[in-house]
Amino acid sequence: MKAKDTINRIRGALGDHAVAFQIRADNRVYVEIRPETVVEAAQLMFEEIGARLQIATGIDSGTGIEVMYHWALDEEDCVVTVWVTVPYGNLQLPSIADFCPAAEWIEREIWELLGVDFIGHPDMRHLLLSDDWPEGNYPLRKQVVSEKIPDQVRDDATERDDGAGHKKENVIPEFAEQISGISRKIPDQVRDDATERDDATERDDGAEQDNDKSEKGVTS
Amino acid sequence: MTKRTIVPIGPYHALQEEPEFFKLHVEGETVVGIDIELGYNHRGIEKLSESKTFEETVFLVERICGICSTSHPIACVQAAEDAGGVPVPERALFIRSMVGELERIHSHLLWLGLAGHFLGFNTLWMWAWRFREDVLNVLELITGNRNHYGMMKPGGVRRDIKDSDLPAILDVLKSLDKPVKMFRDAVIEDPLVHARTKGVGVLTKEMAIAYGALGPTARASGYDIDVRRDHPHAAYDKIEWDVICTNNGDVFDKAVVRILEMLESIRIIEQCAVQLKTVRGPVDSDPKTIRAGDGIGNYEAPRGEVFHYVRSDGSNTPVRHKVRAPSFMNVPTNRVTAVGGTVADATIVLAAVDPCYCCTERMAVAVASPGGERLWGAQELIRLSREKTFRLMEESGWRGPAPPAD
Repeated sequence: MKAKDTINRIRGALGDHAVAFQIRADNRVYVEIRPETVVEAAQLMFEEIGARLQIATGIDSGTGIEVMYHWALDEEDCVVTVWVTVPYGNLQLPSIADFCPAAEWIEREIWELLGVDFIGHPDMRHLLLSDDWPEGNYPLRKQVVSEKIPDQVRDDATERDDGAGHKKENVIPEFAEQISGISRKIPDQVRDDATERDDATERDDGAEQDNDKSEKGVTS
Repeated sequence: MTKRTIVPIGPYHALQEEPEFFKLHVEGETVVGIDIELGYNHRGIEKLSESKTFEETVFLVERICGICSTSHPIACVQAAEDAGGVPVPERALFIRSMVGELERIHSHLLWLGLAGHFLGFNTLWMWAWRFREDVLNVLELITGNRNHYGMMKPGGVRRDIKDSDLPAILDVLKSLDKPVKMFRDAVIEDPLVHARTKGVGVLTKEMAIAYGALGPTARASGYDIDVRRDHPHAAYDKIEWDVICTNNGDVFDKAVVRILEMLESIRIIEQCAVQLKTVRGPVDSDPKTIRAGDGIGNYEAPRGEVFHYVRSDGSNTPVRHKVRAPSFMNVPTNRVTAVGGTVADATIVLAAVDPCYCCTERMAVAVASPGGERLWGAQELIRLSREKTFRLMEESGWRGPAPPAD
């Protein structure tokens, strides 16, 4: 096994910090550490040993979030997975992105998909999800059912629009006008008797509109 | 002092298959900063994969990318095999390498053609895509499909390669040797390609390591990594081939690495075909279950290492399936490569990491000037890039590469 020396070095350097040290195969090593030693372990792997951060994986284990940092030892044909569990009550980990830029995006991803807060991250904002994604909704958690996600987002969006004149931040004002203009026009063009209905809505109040809706339901 | 403006490229961009948003911070002609946003096409594949069986996940990840449509499956089945301790017959390993290398050739030809197109070398574009067609025909012969091959499964491959097909495959590969060398000479000897790409968009080795760059993007910067060699899988440790590595880190070197890799790929496929004549046996170990455990699979896709992590609890579906495509690591390097260059060079610099290409039409470039805003289309930006080439052409008197002598 080529990686033996390096693995012994990692074992020695981490010492008491390692909760568990498993060599599951010649080229697969799993090291479990405590959350407070994440930075130390990452510095050891990245700066001293020169391992390549392949990626980090976040997993919802039911009691907390596991974060696995996969470090590749390219010269020794080995992947060392440094593995840490943070409980739901304290979903925080120190960021390693300031000395390892490769971790910058994946920390943003784990934050938005699983809700682990990376303290000290230089630029923590949404990476994959939209900027108006409802706060506290982490789609990769096990209790989230895929089918429900769009509804939650939609509800949130309508609330914002109807509320105290909140504007969606990402829409350029001119475009917002165009977009809303288009969406207003489409139903008119689709409906044959558009003019009649428009008169009705102008003349009457909300009750009449409710009737309008029920008519639509019948016709469609 | 020059006014700082923002040139947004995207979210829909002619250079990318998927929407991606680059905000170029520009002072005059010089790019001084870049801000990258993605997620416009987030499909939730990792979440979806948790509801699929191990065999179904392979079809799912095959559809992550239309160009790397065998790289993700190879990494995925290797992760499942690593977790479950599944053996793979030797013959299947050679077939995996063959399909993977054919994919690399077609992907690199695609990139080369588009890179030529953006620089104003439409001759190069048409030649590259003409020969890419031959590669796709071979893939169709082997797998039944030009793309989305459906070849991989945990424990092996789905289809064997018939002995009667091997001569036809080797004939096509032999015929590819000449055009690929023609492309090599066209790029390496062409003074205009030099002028447009040398010293442009340089990624230093230190930055490549810091950002975890992968594939040709890393190898062009002298960062000598290739998981085919470093973490042997498929049949790569059973045949002779070389990892192509250059030192300058500019767009020119990235092109050279890709072209030379195609010659290596031809070498690999030819050796695999020879081996297939003697290595007999089944192509599938047909595992019934994947036992509980963690599995890591990686494969060197045309753009760099594809990484898959799978956790199994012994049931037929993964508990967690993590997918990391090479562009996830390569695209952030644009923050260092595009900065300091000009807007005209930004097109080719952003394209040099080979983010997934596509024909998505619309790209809006709004130049916010004090006089008002202009909207530029994709054609406009490509025109800007080409004009620079033609200007250089007139200055140097060079007329472009000669057509291949047959």
